[in-house]
Amino acid sequence: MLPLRWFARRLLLAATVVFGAANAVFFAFRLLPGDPVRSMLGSTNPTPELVEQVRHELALDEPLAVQYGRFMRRLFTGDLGESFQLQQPVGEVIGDQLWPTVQLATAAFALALLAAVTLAVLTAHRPRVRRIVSTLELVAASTPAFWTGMLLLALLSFRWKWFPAMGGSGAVGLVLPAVTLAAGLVGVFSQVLREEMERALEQPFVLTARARGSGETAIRLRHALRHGLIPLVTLAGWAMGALFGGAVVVESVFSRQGLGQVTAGAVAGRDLPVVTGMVLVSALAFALINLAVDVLYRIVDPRIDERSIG
Amino acid sequence: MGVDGSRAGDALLRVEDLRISFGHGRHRTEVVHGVDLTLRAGECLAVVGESGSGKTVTGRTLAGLTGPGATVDARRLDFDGQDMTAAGEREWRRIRGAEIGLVLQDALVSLDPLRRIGAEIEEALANHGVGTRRDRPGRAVELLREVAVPEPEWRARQFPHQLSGGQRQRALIASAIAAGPRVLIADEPTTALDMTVQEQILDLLAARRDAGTALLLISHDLAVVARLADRIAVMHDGRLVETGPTERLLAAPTHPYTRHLLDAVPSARRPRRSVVPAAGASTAAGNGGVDRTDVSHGQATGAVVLSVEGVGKRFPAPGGGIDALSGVSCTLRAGETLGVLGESGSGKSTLAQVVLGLMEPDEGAVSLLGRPWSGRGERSRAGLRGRIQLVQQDPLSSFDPRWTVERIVAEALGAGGRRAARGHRPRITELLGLVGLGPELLDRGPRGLSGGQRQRVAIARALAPEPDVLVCDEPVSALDVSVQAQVLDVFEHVRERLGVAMLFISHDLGVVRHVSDRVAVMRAGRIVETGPVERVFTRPEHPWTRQLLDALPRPGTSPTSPAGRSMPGHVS
Amino acid sequence: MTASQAGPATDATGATGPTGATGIAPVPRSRPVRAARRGPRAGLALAGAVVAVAVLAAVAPELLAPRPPDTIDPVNALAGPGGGHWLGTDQLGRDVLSRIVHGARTSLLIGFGATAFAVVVGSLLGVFAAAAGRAVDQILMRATDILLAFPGLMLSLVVVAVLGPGTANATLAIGASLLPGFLRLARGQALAIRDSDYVRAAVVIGRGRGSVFVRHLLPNAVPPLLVLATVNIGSAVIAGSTLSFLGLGPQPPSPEWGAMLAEGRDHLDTAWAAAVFPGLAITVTVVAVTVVGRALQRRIDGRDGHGR
Repeated sequence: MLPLRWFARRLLLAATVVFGAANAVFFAFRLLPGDPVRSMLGSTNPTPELVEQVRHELALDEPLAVQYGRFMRRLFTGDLGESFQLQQPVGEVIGDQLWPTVQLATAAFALALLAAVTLAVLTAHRPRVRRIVSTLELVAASTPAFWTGMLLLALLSFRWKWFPAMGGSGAVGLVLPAVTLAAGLVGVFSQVLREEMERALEQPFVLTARARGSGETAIRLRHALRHGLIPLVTLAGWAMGALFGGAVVVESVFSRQGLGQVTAGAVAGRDLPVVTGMVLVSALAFALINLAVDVLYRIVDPRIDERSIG
Repeated sequence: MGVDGSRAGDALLRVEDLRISFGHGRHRTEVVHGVDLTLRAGECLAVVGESGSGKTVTGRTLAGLTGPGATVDARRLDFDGQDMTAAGEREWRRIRGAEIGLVLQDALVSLDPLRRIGAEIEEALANHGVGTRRDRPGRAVELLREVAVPEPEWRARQFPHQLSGGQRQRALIASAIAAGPRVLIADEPTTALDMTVQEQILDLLAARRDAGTALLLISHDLAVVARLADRIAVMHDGRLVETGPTERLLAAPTHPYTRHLLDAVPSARRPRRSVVPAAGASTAAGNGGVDRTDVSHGQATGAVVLSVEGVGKRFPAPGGGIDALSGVSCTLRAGETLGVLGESGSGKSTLAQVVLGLMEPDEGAVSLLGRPWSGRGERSRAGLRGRIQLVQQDPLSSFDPRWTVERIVAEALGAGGRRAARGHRPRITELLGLVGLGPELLDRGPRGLSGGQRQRVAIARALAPEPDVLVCDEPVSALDVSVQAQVLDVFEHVRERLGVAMLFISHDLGVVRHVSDRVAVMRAGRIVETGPVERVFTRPEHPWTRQLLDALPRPGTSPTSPAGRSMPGHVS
Repeated sequence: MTASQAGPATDATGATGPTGATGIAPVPRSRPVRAARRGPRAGLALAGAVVAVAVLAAVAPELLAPRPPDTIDPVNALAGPGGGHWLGTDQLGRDVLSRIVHGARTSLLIGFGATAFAVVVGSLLGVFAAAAGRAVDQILMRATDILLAFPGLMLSLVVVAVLGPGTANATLAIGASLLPGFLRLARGQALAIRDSDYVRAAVVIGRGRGSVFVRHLLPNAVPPLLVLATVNIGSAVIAGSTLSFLGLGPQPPSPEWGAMLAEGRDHLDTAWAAAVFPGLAITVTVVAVTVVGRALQRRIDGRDGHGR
C-alpha cells in the first residue's frame, strides 16, 4: 500500500541527512578553532617537530580538498579510518561495542514503554492519582541519569548486595543499567501518552462508545490507548537519541562496555576518527528510525495516507 | 415489538421534574430546571433549543451519560417501567446500546477515526452479546445495508474518514441501532451535513420511527425538526417552555419564545426583509429605527463598483489540479447586495480571496471602482485598499488575541499603537454605535465578548476605512439563530445608512434570500445561475438551484409550502 | 419522592466514571480540579524560594557557605554528615555543603547561558527562515533536520570534541544542542501568524509589511518562545552537569555538581554522602526551575491562548 514515490523520497531524505552529517563533522573538525593534533598530544608540551610529524602521519597537512576527497571516498567504501588512541580501525571498534549498547537500549526501551502504558492507562482522567504520578514524573525527569544510577548502586549493590556493582554478565548485570536508562524515558512517555489519551477520552467517539454500552476498561484499552500511541511513535526518534545519550552516562556509571564508553573516551581524548564514526553511525541510525517511524505511522494512523500524498 | 400499537403503547421513557446541575457546594449551578418528558414507541419527539438551552445535557442524561461532576435529580426517570433514578453505571451499561441508542452530530469525530467502521458496529453487538464472534462481521455488514450505505462489505473495512459525510452519519446510526434499542436519541444528527444529504438522513430516521423505534430528536433547527417530529418541545434556559403537536405548535405558538424562534429563522421560503427584530434584542432594535428612510433600496442602478471578469483559479492537487474557480464573472453595483450561494467546496471562499486581492487569479481580471485591482502589487494597491473590506466567518481568529476592541478598530483607522488609538476614540465610539455596541466594550479583549459582539466589532472594523464594497464570507454561519438575526439586522442597518455594496457569501439559503438583491449560485467553481433574488428563489432555472431548493425542509407555517408535502403522517 | 443520583461519575467502582463532557457548554470544574489548583500555589511558593536560594548561592556563595570550598582536610576525608560538616566531606576532606553552594554558580550559568544562546540565535534564524522565501527556508530547515538527527548529547559531545572541554565550551555545546528546537518553533510561529486570519484582516485594512511585523508578528511569536525557554532551562542544567560528570565541563578543582558526583562515584562503597547530596542539589534545583517555568507558561498561555 506504500506509495513507491513517497518511500523513495523518504529514503533520499535519509541519505541527505547522513551525507549532511558527514560534511558537517568533517568541516567542523578542520575549520573550527582548536588544533586536534596539539590537543591529542595533550599537555606534554610537544616539540614543533613532533607536532608536524604526527600531523603528517594523520595526513592533516594535506590541502583540504584532498582530505575531503579521501574522506568521502573512504566513506562510500565503509572505511571510517583508524582510531588515534586505540590504533584500531574505527569500524571494528564500533562493531565490537555495538551489541552491548543495543542490548541495554532495547531492554530500557521495553521497560519504559511497559511502565508508561501502565501508568497512563491507570491515571488518565483521574485527577487525584494523576497528581501524585505527575509529581513523580517531574522528579524523574529532573534527575540526571548518572545520579539515579549512583543511588541504585549505593543501595542495591553496595548496601544490600542484590546486584553486581560492576560489569556483571547476562541478565542480572543488565537490570540496574536498564532501569536507570528507562527512568529517564518513562516520565516523558507516560506524560505524552496520558495527555493524548485524555484528549481522546473527551472526544465524541468515546461518548458514542459509552452510548453503545462499552465499559471503562474497554474504552481505555480499545479506543484511547491507540490514540495515545500515535504521538509516542513520533517520539521514537527522540527516544533513540535519549537512549544513546543516556548510554554514554549509564555505561560510565556502571563501568559497562559499549558505544557510550567508546564515545566518552574518544571525546575526552579528542580521538576524531572515532567521534566522526560515532556521529555517522548515530545519524544513520536516526535516519533509519525516522524512516521506520514514517512507515509505522501510516500503519497506526489510517488518516495519514491521504494527507501526505498531496 | 408491537409496531401498530405505537399510539396506545405505554411510554418507553417517562421523565418528571428532571434537574441537572454541575459542580459542588457554592460552585454548583443548575442547568436544567425540572423537565417533564414522555416518549412512546413509534413516536418522534423533538427537543428544540439554542446552544446553552440544556437540550444536549438532557438528551445525554436520558442515556445515563451526563458527565463527570454532574448531579441528576428527578422525581421520576423510568425506562420501560423500570426506575432509573438510582441506577448505577452497571445498570446503565446494560441499557445503553441495547435499549437506548445515542447518535451524535458529527460522525467524523463520533466514530473512532482509528478503527474500521465494521469494528465500531461489532463493538455494539459484542457489548450486549448479540450473535457470536464469528457472525458479527456479517451482521455489521447487514446493518450497513439496512441504513443504505452503498457497498456495505467494502465500507465495513474502511475508516471513517474514507466515507462521505452522509455515509458516515449512516454508519454512526447503524452502530447505534446495532443491538436493537427501542429508544434512539439523536443529537443534531444532520447539522454538519449539506442540505441534500440532510434530507436523506432525516428519511432514514423517519424509517426507524415508522418501524417502531421511539425517537428523541434534539436540534437547534425548527425547520429540520418539523419534517419528522410528531411533537415538539421547545427548550429555553433549562426549561421546556412549550410542548405540543408539531402542526399546532408551528401554526399557533403560544409561548413568546417559540414565536421568537420561528421569527428568527431567516426562511428561504419567504421574501426578504420579513425578519422582525428579535424581541429581546434591544441594541439592534434601538439602532434599527434610525434613519430608515434615508436610502431606499429598490433595484440597484448605481455605478458598477466591483467587476469580476472570467476569473479562473487552479490549485495543484494529485491528478492534475482542481479548478477552484473557472470562468466566473459578476458585477456589483453601488449600494447593492449580491448573495453568493454555494455548498462547501463550491469555490465561494476562493472567490472572496481573489476579489479581495489576497490571491491572484490565474485567468481573468478583477476591477474595483473602474480601476484594475487584480494583477498588481500590494504596494500599488494602497490607494484603493480601504475601498474594499472583509468580514470573516470566525471573528475571534480575525482579531489579534492580545488587543483590545479599541486597538482592533483603531488599526483600521491607521492608528496601530496604543496611544494613537486613544486619539481616535470619538470615531471608534461612533463606529461601534453604528453596529449597536456601547463604548463600555472599548477596553475588552476579544475573548471577553460574546459571539454576536465579536462579529459586530469585526463589522465596525471593516467599516472604518469607509469602504464602497464589503465582502462578507459566511459572516453569520457560526452564530446561534437569534444572534444571527441580530447581526443580519446590523448588516441591513449599515447598508441603509452607508449605502455600501456587499458581496455576501453563504451556504444558507435563508440567509441569502434575506439579505440579497441579486443571487449568484455557485457549484464546482462556476456560477450556474444569476438573477434577482425573488426570481431565483421562486422560479429557479438551473437544475442545481432547483435541487437545492427542493432539499429545503418545509416548516408547516410556510405559506408557500404545499400543505403537508413532507409532514409526518401521524400525529400523536 | 426525590431520588438523588450523583451522576454516573461516582459509580460502583468509585473511580471517575464516564467522562466526555464534550459539547456540554462550559462545564463548571468539579472538586478535584479546584483542589489541584490550590495545591500548586504552595508548591509554587516553595519552588520560588528554592530558585531564590539557588540564585543567591550563585551570586554570593560566601553568604551561604559555612567554609571556603577548597580547604583540604585529609584527616577528615570522606566523613559522613554530622560533626562540623553538615553534609560530610569528600575524598580530600573538603566540606560538601560549601562546595555545593559554590558549585551553584557554574551549574546555573551553564543552564541559563545555554538556553539564552539557543533562544536568541534560534529565534533570529527561525524568523529569518520564515521571512526569507522558499529557497533559504528550505536550506535552513534541511540543516535543522540534520542537526536534529543527532541526539542532544551527541551534538554537545561533538562540539566539545572540537572546542575542547571547559565551562564556556560546555555552555556553547549545550546551547547548540537546544538550538534546532527553537529555530523550528520560531519559524512555525512566524508562518502560523503570517497565515492567520488577523494578519489577513490587517492586510485588508491596508497595513504594510513592517507594521504587521512589529505590531502582530513579533508580540505574538515571542511568548511561546519564552515558554519553551523556561521549560528548557531545567534540562539544560541537567545536560551541563552530565558533561561535567563525564569530565568535559568545568575542570577541577572548581566545584560543580556533576563533577563532584563523578569524584564521589569512586567512593560510593564507603562514603555515600559525597555521592548523594550534589545530586540532590541538581534534582531539587531542576524541579524548582521547572515548576516556576510551568507557572510562567500557564500565565502566558492564559493571556494569549485560552481564557481571557
